[in-house]
Formats: sequence, structure tokens, C-alpha cells
Amino acid sequence: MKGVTVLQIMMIITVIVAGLFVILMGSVGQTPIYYHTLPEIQFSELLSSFAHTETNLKRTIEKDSDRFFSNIQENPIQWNKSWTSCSDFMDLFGKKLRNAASSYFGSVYVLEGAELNSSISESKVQYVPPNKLIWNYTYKIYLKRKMFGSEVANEINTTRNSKIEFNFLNLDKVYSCAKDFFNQMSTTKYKFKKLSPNKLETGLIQKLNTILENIDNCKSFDKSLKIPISCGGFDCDCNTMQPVTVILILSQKGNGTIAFSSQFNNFVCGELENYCKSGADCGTLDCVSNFCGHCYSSGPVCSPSNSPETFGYRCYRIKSEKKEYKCLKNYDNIRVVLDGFERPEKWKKITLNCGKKHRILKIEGIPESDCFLEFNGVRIENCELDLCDTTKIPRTNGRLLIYAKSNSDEYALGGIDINFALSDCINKLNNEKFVYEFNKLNCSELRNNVKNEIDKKIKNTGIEGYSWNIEVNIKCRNNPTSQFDEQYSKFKILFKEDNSVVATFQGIISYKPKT
Amino acid sequence: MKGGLFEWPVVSIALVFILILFVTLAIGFFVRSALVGEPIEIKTYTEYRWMNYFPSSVLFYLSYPEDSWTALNELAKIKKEKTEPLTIEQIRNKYSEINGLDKLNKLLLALGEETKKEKHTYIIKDRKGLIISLGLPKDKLEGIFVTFPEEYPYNCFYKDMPIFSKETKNMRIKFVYCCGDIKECGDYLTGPGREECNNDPCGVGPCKLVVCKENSKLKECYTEKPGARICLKNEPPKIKFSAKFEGDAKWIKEKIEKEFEGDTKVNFRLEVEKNFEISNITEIVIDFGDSKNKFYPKNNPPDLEIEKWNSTNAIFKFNHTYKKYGEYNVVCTVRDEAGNENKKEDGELIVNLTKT
Repeated sequence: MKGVTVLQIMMIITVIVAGLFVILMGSVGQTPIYYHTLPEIQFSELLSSFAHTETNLKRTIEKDSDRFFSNIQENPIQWNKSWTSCSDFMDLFGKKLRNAASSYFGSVYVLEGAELNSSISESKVQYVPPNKLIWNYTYKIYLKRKMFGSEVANEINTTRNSKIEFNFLNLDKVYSCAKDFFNQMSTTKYKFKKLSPNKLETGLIQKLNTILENIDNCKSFDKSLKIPISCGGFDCDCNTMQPVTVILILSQKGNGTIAFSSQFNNFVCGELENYCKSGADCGTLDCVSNFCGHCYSSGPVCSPSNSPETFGYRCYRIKSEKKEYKCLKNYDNIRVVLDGFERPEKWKKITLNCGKKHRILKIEGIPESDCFLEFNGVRIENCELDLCDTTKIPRTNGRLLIYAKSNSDEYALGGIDINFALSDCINKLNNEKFVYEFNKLNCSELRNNVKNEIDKKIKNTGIEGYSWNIEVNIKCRNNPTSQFDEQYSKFKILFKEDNSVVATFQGIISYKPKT
Repeated sequence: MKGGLFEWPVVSIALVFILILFVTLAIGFFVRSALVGEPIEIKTYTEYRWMNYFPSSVLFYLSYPEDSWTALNELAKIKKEKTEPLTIEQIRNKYSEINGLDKLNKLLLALGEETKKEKHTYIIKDRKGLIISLGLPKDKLEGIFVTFPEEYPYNCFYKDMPIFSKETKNMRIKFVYCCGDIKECGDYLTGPGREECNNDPCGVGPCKLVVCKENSKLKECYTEKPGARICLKNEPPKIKFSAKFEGDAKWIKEKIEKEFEGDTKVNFRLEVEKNFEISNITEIVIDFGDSKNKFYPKNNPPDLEIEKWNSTNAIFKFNHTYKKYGEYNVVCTVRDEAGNENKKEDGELIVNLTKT
């Protein structure tokens, strides 16, 4: 047998190679997903992660400033007696802001598989009297992504400066308030013999609060005190009492918060001086949680000044711009009555369809003259109400707050969420797209068809119990009119209940050629 | 010329190799294209870059206005273990206490409209924050573990935006864009062996694969080669359903009513609009309120009158006798070959026979 020639071998090899090429290149498989592994794409992904990190860090501090500054109370500035003005604590304040921000900067440490490390390295504050605070800070962002099985890593390691301006407290007044308070505190003694840490904390807060309430320089602030006390799991003893840290927190709505701390070491053995059983033991002060003083939070049991009452009162936050608490009558037996029946779960949400049934809400257990309601900011001067009465309450979902009055003080006792079927229907219509397709139509026919189209959308929301009128503003420059004459029309839906209009919805219907 | 170039054995072998290679490749590609269709276009580097930039810029677009930024942050921080895709409208109803959802809604609607993915825009609240998904149908987003396939036809790509907060750890908002190349049925690959058109994984249809050789009369095939395979939108049947009492003249759509005076015959009229050449209707299911019936129109059932049935329009008539007074909800469902049904509300009407 003659062997094959070189030429024949080459031809066979060529056919095999070409065949493989065709199969591999033209296979029905999918486009290979390799873009993640391209070094340029890898870096560009890391770069956009960096852009999102940087932007969101800044925006979080800017937009979340209320919560950001509330962090300050966990990082109080250690008060120094030798300070002569607010400029003396600005450096420390800058450091405390850095600490407050660190929980934000460290909250994300993995992003799309990349290692993220962001922190603040330098922090300085500049106060521009009377109400501006400029915070200059230097931050580091380190992003690293390592490909699986590879030694090579993409990294972004950068340090940048940023500046944020906040509306802030008047720091000159803050300084005067804190100085006066800590000066007076240093000369104040607190007498007790043996007391649980909780009671000692309450007693001391009440004692120092009465000082704070009387300082003129502090009057413009919302103020509170924190005195965390621990006596090693036992009752505190006046003979072995260690100094405690007193934190003074000053704030104003929308103007941030600042906190200072100082040591209180003036514990003296003796009869507990501000202990009380009722307001009668406290003269001009209230008796709050068995200590003479002021209410400083919502909830504690109290007895008003000069009153022998030992129950029936609690501390409430009163309705005002400032954070103020007072010892006021507690209506424990408040009843929420709906259509003559008492609700077992009085604060549970009420869902209404006023088109089907009006519902009457009555609050019982508070004298009528001392009770009023508020719904979505609208005040209703008594505590019996037809929830469907549009002359008294707007027909939009919201929260009904129940208030009590005591002299000039008004305070909320609770709230009920109210949902209206009509409000839900209008919310659904707000999300609808109104489009009508036509080419050429008689004007009245167009108007009718558009009304039918809108009518169908209203019915689709599932609303029941209401009637409605649809007013469509179609001008019809030509009759018959074409889609090119009219591109859109405004319309109004008047929702009626017992023949009177209770809500209006306005919208736009756009026209498209019919295909 | 003696000892010329062509006399070298290596040159001859190389020439044969090149010639055979060309011929084999040409035949090979021709056979391959005929058997399995055109090859898939390989993505360019620019497209890869766009896949990276697009989700990132969408996240900036959605979070730029202050109110929608707040809404996104608040939504992300809500504690939730169960993942469930919700439309922005459902999110607005569920979390009405969050401010800024109106703005976010507007931005998402505009984005959905621009990308032609408004039908498939979902928000998923998961334990890591929030996923905003554009393009993937709802059924692909349900389940304990949601995955975003990167292969054809989904080609999902995504970007994460971190959520910084003092209360949470490692939270993010993920924007995922899928099925970007599939905006209508015609965008699916239709080569032999490909099932995407009929399965419609991107939810742009329902779609139907049509081979022009077998459907040469179809308008869409006029401009195509006889062997072409095209993917067409298979619109569900559009119906108009009306009824009248025996003896009445006018067909009425939503409700017919009269006093019950013994056995009452009601006539029904069903008008179906659809491109029957793409996919014909196979069955009509009717629930009269007191009993049910099913017609297979192709079999010419005796109790179904076929008034008209051309390529785009059909009118059927049938009747039913009610033997008791009462309010009857009549529901008519028309199905095509692919199992698509008419809109439920178009097939509903009420027959009310009041007590005398």
C-alpha cells in the first residue's frame, strides 16, 4: 500500500483546522461574559463605586444632620473651668464631630465585593456668629478589589478635604449657659445615705435640673441632663461614692446639638433632701418619680406642685416649638367610641368608606371642655366628630391626634391612623397614565370617549359608594377633530357623596394616534 | 524560468493549505448559518463600558433630588427579611409615611418610559437594603434568592450605592438593568433551536415564532426571504362581550336586567379582534353563572353560531336559558393557540333577573 502524500496530509489537517474554526467561532453559544474581568472595566467599576461612596458620605452628613448631631451627646466635650469663650473648645468640638461621624464612615465596609475603608483624619470647626458652623474635615477613602485567584488588585486610596456649613446654636450663648451651669454645679452638694443607682441618678438629675431651669443664659435652649451612675451592681453608698459624669445637652430644633461633660464629686452623707411622695412635699416644684423637680421626659409618674395627689398624673411633652415637659393629668380611662361602640384596640387604624357609611368617633373619659382633636394639622375643637364631615376634616389619609388641655397647656394623649377609600382611590389615579388613542373623531364623540376612558380608570381603582362627574376641557378647534389638532386635554373628576362634591381630582389625558 | 518560486514544495503545500482553508471555511460557515442561524454579535468594548456607566448614572439620577434621596435611604433602612418585588405604586401605598416617594415615582416612571421597561420596573426590599430592577419580569424576581443572569437574553448588569447610617451595617441600593437589548418580540434571536421567542423570558410579548415558508401570506413575511424565521408579537385576544334578552333589539355590554317570568333565554354576542394568522383562537370558555360551557370554534360546534371569522376579526353568538331568578355574573374567556387570554374585565357582564 502506498502511503499518503504530504499534500494529502496537509489537506486533511487543513479541513480539520477549518472545521474546528467554524464550529468554535460560529457556535450558537452566548457572547462570553468577560467584561467583568477586563482590567479597564474593573478599574472603572471601582471608580464609580468610589464616586457613590464619596457623594453619599457627604450627603448623609448634610441631610441627616439632626441625627448626626444627636450623636454628639455620646461624644460630649469635657468642660474646662479655665475656658473664657467658645473659641476655647472649638478644637475639641472638631474632634468630637469626627467621632460622631465615624459611625457613618465605618458603616459600609464591603461594596460590590470591594473592600471599603473610609474614615476622617482631620476635623476642624469654625464658628461664624451668630448661627453658622463650618466644618472642615479631611477624609480617607480606601477601596480595593482583588480578582479571584490573582495577586493583582485594583486600589483607590485617596485623601480629600471637604467643607460643610450647618445652621447651628449660638455658641457664645452656649458657652455662657454651660459656664453658669457647671459653676453652680461645682458648689452644689447632694445628700444621701444609701440609694439604688437609678434612684440616685433621678434624684441628682432633679437637683441639677432645678439649677439649670433657673439659669437665664440657658433659657433659649432645649436642655437635658444625663448622669449615668453605676455602683458595681450594688446600692450606692455615700461613704464610698466615686465621682460621676454629668452630661449637659443643649439643642434647638434645626440648629443642631452640643454636649458637655464634667465630673460631679460633691456627694455628702445625710438625709435625702429632694425626696417626695406628692407635690405637696415640693413647694413650687413637682414631684417626679419621687424626687422634687421638673418633668424632663415623657412618661414618668408625677404629682404637680403643692398637690397631695399621688396618682393620676404623668409627665407629658406639651404642644410647643420647644421640647418642654409638664406634670399633667393622665387620662388612663380614655375610651374611643366608634358609632356608639367602644373599640377594644383603641389606637388601631380606622379604614373608612364615607360614600357607603359615615362614622362617628367620640372620645370619652376626658371632660369635653378639655378635649380637642387634630387631623393632618387641622384642629377640631371638640372630641365628637363625624369622620366623614369634610367641613371639619380634609379627606386625605392621615393621623388623628387626641389632645387634652390643662390651663394653657395642650398635650397629646394618643393618635389613630385614618384611611379613606376615596383618598386611596385618588392616590391610585395619581399613579395612572391617562392616554387616549384616536385618529379623527367628531368633537362630541371624542369628549364622550375620553370621559368613558377616564370612567373606566376610576372604576378600576375599585372605589365604591361614590358617584362622580368628569369634566373634560376639549376645545375642538376643528370638527371633526384629529389627533394632530389636540395633543392633550385637562380634565377634572368631581367625586360626590350625597350629591355634594367631597373631593376633586385634576389630571391630563394625552392623545396618541391609533395604530 | 527554472527553479522558480512555485517549484518549491513548501510553497505548493502552503498554497494548497490556503486554498483548502478558504473553501472549507466558506462551505463551513454557509452550512452553519443554514443550520443554526446567524452568529451572535460580539459586544464591543464601548458596550461593556456603557454596562458599567449606565447603572451608576441611573443611581445618581434617582438619588440626586433631595426628596428622592431621602425616600431611597428610608426605604433601604426599613427592616425586612422577606424579598418580594413591588411596583413603585405598591411601595407608595405600603410605606405612605415615607416622604419623597412621589418624586422617586416620577423619576422611575420617566426612566421606565425612556428604556421601554415601564412594565417591568420593580423595587425589592431585602435585608441588605433595596434593589431597583428594570427589565426583568416579576416571576424572575420571586423566590428566596433573586439572581440576575448575565447571559443572553437577560444580559443583566448592575451597580451598588452604599447607604451610610449610624444604625445599619453594609447596606446598599442596587440598581439592576436587564433585557436592555430586548425591547420587543422582534429583538429575540430566532435561529433554529432557539426558544427565546416562544418562551419570552424578558416579558415583552407574548411572542410567537413564525417561519415565513409556512406563513407566506403573513404581511410581516412579504419583505423577508422564504426561509426567514421572525418573532412577532402575539397580542392576546381583544374581545367585546354583550348580551340581550330574546326579543330585544339592542346588544348591551355591562348589565342586562328584567323581571323573571319563567325560563328566560339570553343571547350572547362575542366579538374577537386579533391577528389570527399569527395565532388563532382555540377555545371559548363561558361561565353563565349557573353552569359552564366550552366551545372549540374550529370544530364548528352546533350551539355556537359563527357569524364572521376573517384574518383579524371574528363574531360568535350563543345563548343560554336561565331557569331561576337571581343576579348572574357571566364570564367569557377566549384563548389562543399559545394559551393567551383576553383581559378579564372585558369578558364580564351581569344578567339580573329580579323576583316578581
